[in-house]
Amino acid sequence: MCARLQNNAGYTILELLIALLLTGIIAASGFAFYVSMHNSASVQEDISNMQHTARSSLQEIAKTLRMAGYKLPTGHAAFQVNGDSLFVYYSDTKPVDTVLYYLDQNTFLASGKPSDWQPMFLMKKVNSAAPSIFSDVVRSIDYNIIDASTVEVSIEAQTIRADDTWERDSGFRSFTSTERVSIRNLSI
Amino acid sequence: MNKRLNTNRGSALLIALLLTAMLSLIAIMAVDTSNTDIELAYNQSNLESAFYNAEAGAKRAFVALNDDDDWRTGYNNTGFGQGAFSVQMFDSVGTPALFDTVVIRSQGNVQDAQAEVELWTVPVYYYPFTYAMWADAWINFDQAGCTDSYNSDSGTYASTLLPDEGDIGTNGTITTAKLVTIGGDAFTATAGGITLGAGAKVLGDTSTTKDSVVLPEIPQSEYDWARAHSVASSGMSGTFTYNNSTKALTLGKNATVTLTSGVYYFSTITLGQYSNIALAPGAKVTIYMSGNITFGQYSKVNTGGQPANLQFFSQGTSLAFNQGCEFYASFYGPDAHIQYDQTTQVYGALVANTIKLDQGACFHYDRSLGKVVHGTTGEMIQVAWKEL
Repeated sequence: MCARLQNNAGYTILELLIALLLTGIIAASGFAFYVSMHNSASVQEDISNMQHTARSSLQEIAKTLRMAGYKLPTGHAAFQVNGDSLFVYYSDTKPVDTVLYYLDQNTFLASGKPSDWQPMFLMKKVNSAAPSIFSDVVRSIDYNIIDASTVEVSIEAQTIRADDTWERDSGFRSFTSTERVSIRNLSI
Repeated sequence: MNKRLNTNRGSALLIALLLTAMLSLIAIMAVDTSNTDIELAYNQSNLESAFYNAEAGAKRAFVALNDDDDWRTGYNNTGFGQGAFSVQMFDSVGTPALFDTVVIRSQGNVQDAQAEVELWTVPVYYYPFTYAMWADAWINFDQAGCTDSYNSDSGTYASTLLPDEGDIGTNGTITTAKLVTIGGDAFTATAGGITLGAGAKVLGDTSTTKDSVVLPEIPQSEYDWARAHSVASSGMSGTFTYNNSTKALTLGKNATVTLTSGVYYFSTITLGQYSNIALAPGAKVTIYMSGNITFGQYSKVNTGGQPANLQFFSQGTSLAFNQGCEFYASFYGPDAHIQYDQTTQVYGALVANTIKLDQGACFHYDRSLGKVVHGTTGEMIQVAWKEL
């Protein structure tokens, strides 16, 4: 039999305590590091989601707005802005198709948030179909009519969680994406 | 038992390796997440680029189409920027309902992203008779000549007369002797190009800074078609001489020829004194000329009829009216000199190289000819755009 197993000598209680203490310190710092990294990753994910929302919403609205007026009857308006609502008219499946974009309260995400920092749904409604949610963390939309065939669209999106490291706006970050849309059918 | 297992040496290495593996795993996960974000951003950027590539393809095809309105070649995967575009052209050959519309469909590709736009274009129609008289080089009035206008669509000359309508224009000069009255506007593209005699007046505006106009030539193919499909002489009745090999039409003194609807092709037309070209009731006649026209004294062409029903297109160099003629028709001859002898009355519209009105000759523009279309200018314009 191995000589070592016949030896009854082990670690002293002091050695074990020190080992436990060291392990505890290392584990605690590791956990703290993990939590901070996780928070930071969540914030980054929120920021990325916010930016993506702003860009993709803008791309969607710009794509529709660009073809406003397509084959419309003479004299029919190509688009109409009413606050944060945008009506785009063209003729594709019907003599006049209407696409409506508007903002609606995002009740799901709004709970527990300061009333001035509640995200909104960007809704899209085509003709008489039921409106669908296009994106969910939009804060505001601005349509600035530059001339008869140019509209500047700005979309502001926000993060869905407050971020302790962000001192302004109750910890909610926001991101605005802007594009100047040239309405092709009005400039030809 | 293996002696090596009996010692604790090397455990530090194992622990270090384990830790490294865990940290690597975390790092890989983090990188993977940020990679997804980057791919998302790239996709969006590629989609934007693909859209503008598609636009570029459509624009390029539109320019090519304007250079040659028969161009239907398109582009196949032509490299552009970070990607490429492909263009297909659709017209009435494949889709009869398009009529004269040409649809440009352009697809842009950047890596996996793809966008497609459609551009609808139509030809620009040519309205040859928007002016009462248009001459490439010059218009000259002898004394007491005049122009006015009426509308044969709405009524008689007397009931629709507007003395202050009927514009005349030229790239060169407009000169008049005394007491001439030009009813509408007088335009030239030559600085100082309008000279009026004593007591002469222009009732409309005058301008000498108009853009120079290149008169579209009627294509030879159209004359060839007219020659091949001419209804001369089967569509003609009366007293006339028609030479089928030379295509010359001659009317003697007091002779009358009546034309039924159709396209006619003549080399020359010569009318003797008091002779008459009449149209059968309701007839619409288009006459293509390879040579000159001479109307003898007091001859009559479609007298009292609607000028829109008789149109002359000429490659000849001369249209001569002797005194006392009556002519109710439109004439388009970019190379022709029009000589208008005294007391001749023309109702219609004239386009020529040079126009000379003798003493007392009057010209009455038929405003209904302004809407007459003849072919296209070869130019195409965009009418609709959409992203697919």
